[in-house]
Amino acid sequence: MKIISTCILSVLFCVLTVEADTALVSNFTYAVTPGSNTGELWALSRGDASAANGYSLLRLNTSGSAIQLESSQNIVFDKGITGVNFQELGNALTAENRRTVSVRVGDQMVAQGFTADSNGGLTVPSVLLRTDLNGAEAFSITAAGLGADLALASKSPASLAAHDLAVDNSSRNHRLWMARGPWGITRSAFAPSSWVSGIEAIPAVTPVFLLNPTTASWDTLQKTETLDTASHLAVWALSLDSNDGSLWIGSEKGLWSGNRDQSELVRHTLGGIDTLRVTGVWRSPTGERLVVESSLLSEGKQSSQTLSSLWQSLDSGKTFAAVAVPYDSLNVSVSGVAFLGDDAWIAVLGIGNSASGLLRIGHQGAKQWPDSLAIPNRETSSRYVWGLEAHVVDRDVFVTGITTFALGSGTGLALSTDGAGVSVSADSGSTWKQILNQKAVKGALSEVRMVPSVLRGYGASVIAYRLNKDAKVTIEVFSYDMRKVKTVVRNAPRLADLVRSSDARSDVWDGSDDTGNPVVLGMYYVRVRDDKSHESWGKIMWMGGRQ
Amino acid sequence: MKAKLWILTGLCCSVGVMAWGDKQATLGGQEGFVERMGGGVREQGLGNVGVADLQAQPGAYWNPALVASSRQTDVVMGGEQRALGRPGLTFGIQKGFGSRMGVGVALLGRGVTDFMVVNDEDVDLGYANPYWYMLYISLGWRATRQDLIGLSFARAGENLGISSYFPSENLKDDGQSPTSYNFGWHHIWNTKWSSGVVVRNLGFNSDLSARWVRSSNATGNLSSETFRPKTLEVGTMYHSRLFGRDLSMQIEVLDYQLADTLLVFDPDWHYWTARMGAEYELIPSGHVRAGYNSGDLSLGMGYVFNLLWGAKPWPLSVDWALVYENSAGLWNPLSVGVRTRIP
Repeated sequence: MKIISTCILSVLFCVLTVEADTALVSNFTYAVTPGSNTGELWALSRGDASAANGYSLLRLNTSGSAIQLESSQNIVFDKGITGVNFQELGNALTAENRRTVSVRVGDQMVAQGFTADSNGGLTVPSVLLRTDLNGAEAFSITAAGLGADLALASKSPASLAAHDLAVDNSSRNHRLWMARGPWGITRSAFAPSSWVSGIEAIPAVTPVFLLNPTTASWDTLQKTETLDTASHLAVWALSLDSNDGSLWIGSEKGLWSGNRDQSELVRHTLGGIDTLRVTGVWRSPTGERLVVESSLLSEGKQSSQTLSSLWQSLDSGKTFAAVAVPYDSLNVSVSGVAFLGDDAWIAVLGIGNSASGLLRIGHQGAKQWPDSLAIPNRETSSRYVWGLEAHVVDRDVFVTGITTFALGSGTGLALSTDGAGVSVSADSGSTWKQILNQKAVKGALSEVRMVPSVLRGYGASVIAYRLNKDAKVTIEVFSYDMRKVKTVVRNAPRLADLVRSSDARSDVWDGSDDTGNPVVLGMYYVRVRDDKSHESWGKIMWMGGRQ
Repeated sequence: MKAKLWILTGLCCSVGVMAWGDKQATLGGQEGFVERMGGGVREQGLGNVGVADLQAQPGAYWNPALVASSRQTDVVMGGEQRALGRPGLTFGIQKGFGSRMGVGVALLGRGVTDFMVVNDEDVDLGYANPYWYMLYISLGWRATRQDLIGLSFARAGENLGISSYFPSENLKDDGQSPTSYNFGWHHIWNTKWSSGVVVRNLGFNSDLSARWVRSSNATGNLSSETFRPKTLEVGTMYHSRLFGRDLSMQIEVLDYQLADTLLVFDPDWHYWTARMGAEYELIPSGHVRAGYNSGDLSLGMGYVFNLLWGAKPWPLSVDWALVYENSAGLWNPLSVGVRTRIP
């Protein structure tokens, strides 16, 4: 009952905050979506602090392949709401729960919103978050579509989740489509370019459409009816083309296509099988190319394993071929797909492993990043995963989402990351610019800043410093009693910079000593010294926990 | 005499083959740093030697047997500020009782000042001043005119001071180790030679391990299992006169067993290091000191003011030390301490 009351009553208004000195609400971003105008990009953040949940609208410009951040505006959510479910994102084995959904509807951003569970964790998908530059509003997800059978929803709060979002821009009143798992799909009308407070903006009851595989058609669930899960397929993914009205559906059993008028559906085969569990469908703007993810949880007695495959069609969905290399060997799920030129850029996230980055899939298959980019002494998990080595990100973080957006006179690529802000490319992925909140450090190697300065059992700390002249630097870590624990880099060339000279790919410390073992709990000191014997020190506390 | 020369020669030779290097970081947790950095400003000037020196204070820390040498109440206090905001303090008191016994307490503390807590978002959250301490309580017994033996109990504690900056993570600032114990023996060979042996960091379990599982958060998934390695310290002191004034020299070798087991003889599981120091009475009641401690160099000076407590003599010694931390290239000139014997 608590969940029901939360759902019904949770019409929550959030505070508009415009942060002039920070580019992002948080450096931990989980979805990126194009804005309304050229150069505009929305990024959805969730950081640790209560004020680190919200959307940022970045305004970017280009000069050649160089990208400048002209301005940004941050809209912070109420502290009891988030657009990112950490628990599912990090722990879920099923692909449909491992991505953060977000879509632009007119000039508004819409994302699945999560409110507090009985333990205080923000895990209950009870609201949708709607944001524009005037602020953010959360409204009940039940009112937005689930008028029926709230009792079932209360028993299984996760069943409320919107696993995928799509928007139909064909009419003045945009329609938001949601893939709702066992609840099929729902549609909601949005008033464009206007801010209407409260639940009145949403129809009190929106029909729920359930996929009936027997009749290959949609059944409509009325408010008074009970959900019949035996006769209908759960819907995990959808892709809707506003121009031609074509609709692609990923379901519990099979990939389906149809039209937005919801006439007869057609089931497609993947690898000769038409009952694969399809958890993701992405369609290129031209409609010729589709990328499909199938994912199945194989539950054994001892452990469970996710069996995923990636499929690609180059003929508007007539035929599909598996992208077996490298996908089948990676054990990852797809966080998002962006189509640019001849390539599909696919953001992937390891399931129970640390693989993360982009797969670059051309017409002929996956492309590797070049040897010349390899980082010395760094073990590379896969040359097909474009990440740290390919300069897609500037530090060792997970890639959590990807999109294309209008940038300058062309199309830009943007991706969200788990801790390194947003990476943007204006030249089809050849070079990348990282946009993140960074505090300025003093120049002439007069300050060393550890970010973070308390390592709490995970991650690594970036060693931030600034040189006034190009130099070779040596970075060493010392214990409290000034015994050298680790040499991070020795005589590594670094460039003078107005912000930071650190190379966040390698100027990091993860709490290990020279032998790779974790150090003991305590204070440590990091010395950065250049080849002219200028030096400065930073302090960091290691709290243990990594065995 | 010949035997003592062999001891001294053996200790000196062993210094040349010490295994320096990476193992140092594994020698216990932060309290291990506190313990190894020592206490007592006079002893810092001597390169942190003291197990064979009846003058070393606080005796409860250096060698629990030494407290049996006190016939009155000895008090030592010291403070230092090392480079990079690393303050330290020492307090010790010891007193003889009965005809052969002594008891002592020592407190060593170290901390960090103005530690800026920066979160994952690159935002300054505020300053913290974490600190760590070791507390020793010892009991000594003069077994013979030449032999003193002692036992001390030790406990470590800490306060990290950062949990309030990460409210969602339920971090724990406070921690206190289980009690461990140390044995000490001091032998006076003659007027010139003395020696000391200390076995440190024994625990109350079958492995005699001073083990400490430190949980840094409430849920316990952020924990470090540390142990203070069993340590054997052997030292000798030679006392003589040069140009009519007192001269003393000391040398110590230390063996840390890195394996958390009862005993292991594989050298890969041991870390050896050495310390040495010399003290000379340059002027009456005024001493100069020099020392070497595992690569670090030190200098010191001290002067004893011979005051009166009523009609009774009341010596008050003021000491200063400079420590050069060689590996990091840091000079630490701010160490000052006083020691006295209350009549």
